[in-house]
Amino acid sequence: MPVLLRRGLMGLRSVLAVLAKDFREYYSKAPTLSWGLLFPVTLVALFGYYSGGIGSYRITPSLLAVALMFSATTMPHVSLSFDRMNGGLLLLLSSPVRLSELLLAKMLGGFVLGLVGVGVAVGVLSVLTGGVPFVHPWWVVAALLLGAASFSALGLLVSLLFDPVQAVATLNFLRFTMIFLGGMLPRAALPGALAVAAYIFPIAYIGDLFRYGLFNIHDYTTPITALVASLVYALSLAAASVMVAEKRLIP
Amino acid sequence: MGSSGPAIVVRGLRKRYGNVWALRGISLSVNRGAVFSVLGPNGAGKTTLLRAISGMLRVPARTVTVMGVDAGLDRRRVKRLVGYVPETGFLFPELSVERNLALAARLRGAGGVREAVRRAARQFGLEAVLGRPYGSLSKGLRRRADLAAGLIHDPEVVVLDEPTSGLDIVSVSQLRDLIRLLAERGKTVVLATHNIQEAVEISDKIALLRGGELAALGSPGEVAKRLGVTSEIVALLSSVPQQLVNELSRHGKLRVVGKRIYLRTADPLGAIATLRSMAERLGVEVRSLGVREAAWEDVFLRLGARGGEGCPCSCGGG
Repeated sequence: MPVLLRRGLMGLRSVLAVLAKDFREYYSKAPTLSWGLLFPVTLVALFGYYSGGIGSYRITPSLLAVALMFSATTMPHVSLSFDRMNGGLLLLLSSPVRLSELLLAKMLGGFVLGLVGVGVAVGVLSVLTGGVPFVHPWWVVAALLLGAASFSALGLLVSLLFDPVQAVATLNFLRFTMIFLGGMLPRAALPGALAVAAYIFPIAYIGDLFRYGLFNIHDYTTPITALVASLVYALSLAAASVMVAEKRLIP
Repeated sequence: MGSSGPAIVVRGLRKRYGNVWALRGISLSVNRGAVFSVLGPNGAGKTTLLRAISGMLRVPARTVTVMGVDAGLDRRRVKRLVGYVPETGFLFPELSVERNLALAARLRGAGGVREAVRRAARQFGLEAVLGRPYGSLSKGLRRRADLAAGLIHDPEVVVLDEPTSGLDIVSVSQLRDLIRLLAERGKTVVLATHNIQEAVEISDKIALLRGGELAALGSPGEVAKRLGVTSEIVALLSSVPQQLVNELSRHGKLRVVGKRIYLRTADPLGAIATLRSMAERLGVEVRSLGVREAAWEDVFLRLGARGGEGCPCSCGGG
């Protein structure tokens, strides 16, 4: 077997081992269930139900983006924080695993929980109010994948930058800000400075991808710009996580 | 990997966390199959040194070499050669012992995960608790599980940070036996400890760290001599002839109180041999003989006057 392929398979084995460990150890933790599943699903079901159902172009894309944000940011934060607190991070760092593999496993946890969170949310709302319209299904897939990647990388980055208590506060500050800026409120509803500020947050672009994919509309920018911006966010947040981890985890 | 030469070579290693120097130019070497203890007060740099040897820190090239592999150039290869077990538990509390060991086996590259888990469980007496969550075990069992996970890939170098910390006397004794066994099998064992007596008993070589610097390095006897660590021999004799006093005085500081002698010496075995041979020659009866343990603690306390800071990185270590 070629050396590169063998290395790749060994790396994949490590990634999957850490990912499986994270889900076994942390999926039933209170923060995972409350912030990663219960809150986003309740938010989508409640607001969706009272705002015209899943067919509402005004609210459904924003709700899905917000649900994805909460679910995907949660798992990397929970797993890294608990790994630090219970000492398990030392087992990972003393093993011959590349840091990038370790971070990829953490991000994949957020990615998977993000997709599960949105899936459950959409399922619940569909049962309550009817089916989901898919005008451009591949754009919805892109929104899901890029959104899950961006938000899980954001959760990871914040957890690397701060200690567990500060990280949860910072993460909640960012998440609750994004509910309003770029999230639930349309651009036209935001006063001048805030409308500009909303462009800082990845949720504005993820929301637009959902809008275009589900209803063939957009709010903050064109679909192509939203696609490129989402990709840039996912890659730059992941790269920033690697850089911060290199400094913080291997002093 | 070099097949000869020392297992570990450290040359002028300096390590700084922000403005705090954890290590200030450490140089040492450890032979293959030796037991090497690193002693020092809290914040002396013990954990930093152990982690540098384990490939967990970024170090400049040519400053740390493990089994011929440069830790500054290839940390992953060093990690494969080393089995590191930290002072605090490093397994996952809600996973079973079996799952923890399987994870360690996968991550550390032990071939044949199931077999490796079975072997480690057998070696460390964990077979009965394999299905139990790690967090539900007693401290002694958790420590055994830590060791099993750390050594699951049969590493050439075993690095143990405060291995007996918080263990009961039976577990401590078992752990010392394990360390001796590992050395007999040709493994190199490096351990950090506060327990000087333990280090002196089981080590071939010890290093005393103080404020990130080496205060002493060598065999326990050499270090004792250099630092003026002495034992006291107390003997009750039938008489104390001047010739005996003269001979014993060469071994250290002698005090005679009636028929009792007190000899403070760095070489208690040599002094006792002299006492016995002289007593036999001069027809003196040795009615009782005792040795008070070496006053290592005094040296440790003197060293403790200048400590440093703990590991301030965000890996969760001390």
